Amino acid sequence: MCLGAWLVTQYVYRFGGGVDDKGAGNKELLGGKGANLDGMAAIGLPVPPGFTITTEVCTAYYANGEAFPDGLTAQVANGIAHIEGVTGKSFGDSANPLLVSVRSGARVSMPGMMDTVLNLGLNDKTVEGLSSSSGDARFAWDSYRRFIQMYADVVLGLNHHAFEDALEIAKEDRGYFLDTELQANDLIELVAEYKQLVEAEWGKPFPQDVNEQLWGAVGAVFSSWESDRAKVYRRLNGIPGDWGTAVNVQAMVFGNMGDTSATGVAFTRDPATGENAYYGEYLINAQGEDVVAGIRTPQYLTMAAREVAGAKPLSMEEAMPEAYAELSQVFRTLETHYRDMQDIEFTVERGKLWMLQTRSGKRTAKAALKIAVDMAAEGLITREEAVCRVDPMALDQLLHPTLDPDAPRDVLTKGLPASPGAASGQIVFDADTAERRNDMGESVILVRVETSPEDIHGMHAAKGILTARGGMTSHAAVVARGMGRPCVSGAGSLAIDNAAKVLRVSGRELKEGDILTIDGTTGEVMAGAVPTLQPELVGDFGTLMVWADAARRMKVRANAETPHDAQVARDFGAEGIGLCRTEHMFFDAARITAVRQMILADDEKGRRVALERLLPEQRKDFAAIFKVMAGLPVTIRLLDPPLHEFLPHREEEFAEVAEAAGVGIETLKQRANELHEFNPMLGHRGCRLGVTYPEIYEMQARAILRQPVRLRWHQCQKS
Amino acid sequence: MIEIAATKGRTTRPDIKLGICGEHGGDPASIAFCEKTGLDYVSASPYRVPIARLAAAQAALRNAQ
Repeated sequence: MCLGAWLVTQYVYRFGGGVDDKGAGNKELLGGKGANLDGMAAIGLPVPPGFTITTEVCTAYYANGEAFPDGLTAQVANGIAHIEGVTGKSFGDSANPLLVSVRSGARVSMPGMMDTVLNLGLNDKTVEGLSSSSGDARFAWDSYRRFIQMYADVVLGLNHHAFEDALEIAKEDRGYFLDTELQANDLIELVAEYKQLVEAEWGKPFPQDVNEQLWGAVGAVFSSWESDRAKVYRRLNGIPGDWGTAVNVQAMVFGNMGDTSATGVAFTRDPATGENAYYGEYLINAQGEDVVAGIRTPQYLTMAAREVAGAKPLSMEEAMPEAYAELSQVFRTLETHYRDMQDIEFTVERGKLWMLQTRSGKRTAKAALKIAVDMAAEGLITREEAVCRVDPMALDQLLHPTLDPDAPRDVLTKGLPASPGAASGQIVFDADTAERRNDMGESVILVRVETSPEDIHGMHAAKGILTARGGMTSHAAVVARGMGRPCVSGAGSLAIDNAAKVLRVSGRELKEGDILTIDGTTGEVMAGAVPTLQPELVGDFGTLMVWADAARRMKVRANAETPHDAQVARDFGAEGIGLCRTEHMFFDAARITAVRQMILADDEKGRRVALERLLPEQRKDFAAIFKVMAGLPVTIRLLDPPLHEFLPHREEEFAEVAEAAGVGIETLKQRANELHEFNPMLGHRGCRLGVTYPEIYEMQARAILRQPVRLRWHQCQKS
Repeated sequence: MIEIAATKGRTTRPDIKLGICGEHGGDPASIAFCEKTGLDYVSASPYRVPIARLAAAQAALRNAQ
């Protein structure tokens, strides 16, 4: 090798067809998707050949004022040559053309946030080649039609509605309902119309040079890294902006080559419950975006899931038994290799299975617990790994009340249980209103026909999400599970009128602001709020907590100041109370009068009279807490807040308080004024209060000590 | 400040019991810091106790690596 070659930075890593550029596993460099494609190819799974342009190129692209680094052109050409070599097709060749997909891939998955271009490499000549090499003119022209539409939207930034409208009109003119009814001749006409639309809107003809198409798409993927929706997603998920995205260029495989072809998405285990059963959806004679876009309703992967749902269209297990058998083998290989639940995309092209993507699947907290505990039991991971697999903050989802199963429910309809948990709130029909009302401290349920990446901020602000369309892998479902929001998707009987801000279902009408409850565990949608039950640490949750306790060094105590809080803390495994505040005990309505009397007293004697009244109450407080904590340590903070907080603030309260405390209204106002402090945080409170009015802490100390002394005395009596 | 307090406190009295309370006691990132600093306990709001137990376990496992 000559010296020059050593100085060239490697921007492109190839995979598939037995070629391996040794980039495997490097997510920082190849992005999550690229690293996984490379990894899947390395363990012998059927991956269409391709190459990855590294995240470093993205960083350099922005550093150079959106220009590609030197030397990239030659490396990309080498990558294309690799794909041509493995597939036996040629890029831009009119006889046997190579088509590629161009996809983004950051270090961590950002579903739906960045851009993808499929069927790249089609032009007026290659479409004829694809038509004759595939023997399917309809397929070739449909691919070209899809490519122009996608390229115009993603790369050229043209309004996609114009293309959708043209497609709808083409169907209407011919009396069709479905895209699939369009014949080759119809599609040829539609492609001509699309090209005119591009030229009219963009001012130039649709690019016919396949390399121009490729570089346009690569640039668009890099640009999408800095799109508004990607920035919002990064901010919400704490992803640094300088990571950049990789670009994956890969030979296209087609799920839309007739009834022996299909495309699908699957999880190796159920991402909602964690159950060890294959879970997914597929569509016969379709391309990837058809599954996630919610245009056609996908079919189940397994026969068992189809039967449970009572669905008629055949599962993949029944319709394509050979490809399904290979797929389930792939599932096992993937879990053994990655030692985690995987979320995959696949395509079957004329009976041949191809793996397009694998990644660790997003899952609910419940599923995370079950999968971690099950995998440890299966010997796939250790108990310590299981403990580290569950995000502690995700447990928050499980530590909130669930709907009381015995409470009456006014069920309006049922959709798909897309993300578990229950939520009640005001109905809102758009993301901005959801955010605004949430900011005002109100709970809202975001109700949409279907969600898109533009709705992210509203989904984040909402307590729950309800959609009329979309399956278990729709945008709403995937994002809601990731955020831990309950979600019911595909509630088809909902008629949503966004303009009038009303929702019609089962002959009833609900408007914006009406209260709705959704149960993402069952898919039920209910009018009004439904009572809830306290959560418990049982099953997988309990098991994982036992394993966690075995690994833990620090003790965990709770901040609690009532017997109820202390009991909840004990039930959740607290090993004592780390902070028991006492000021709320003094705010208690039954005691506030005595407290005020104490504050308003002229001398120590007067204060002691009032404190004598508080002592028995305070004894009861501590006795109840000590009883719950049963010998565990309790750290108590003696009365801390500034005294003026106990006095009234509003004019109408003064008279009432003055009378109750037996002092004149002027005296009361004067005292309140005296006690008012400029900076209460550093004021007359805490130990300073203890120095000036030691009798307060004396009373509290007597109340605290009495209970342990009594207990000890009883123990002595017994022994 | 927590590190200074822990170090100086232990210099004077090696067996002093040190813990943290308030919102930090239920925050996994803060719990990881408390583990590194060698505190004896964290105190979290009741509904966050399981989160704190798991976060404390993960902090101990990661610290041991």
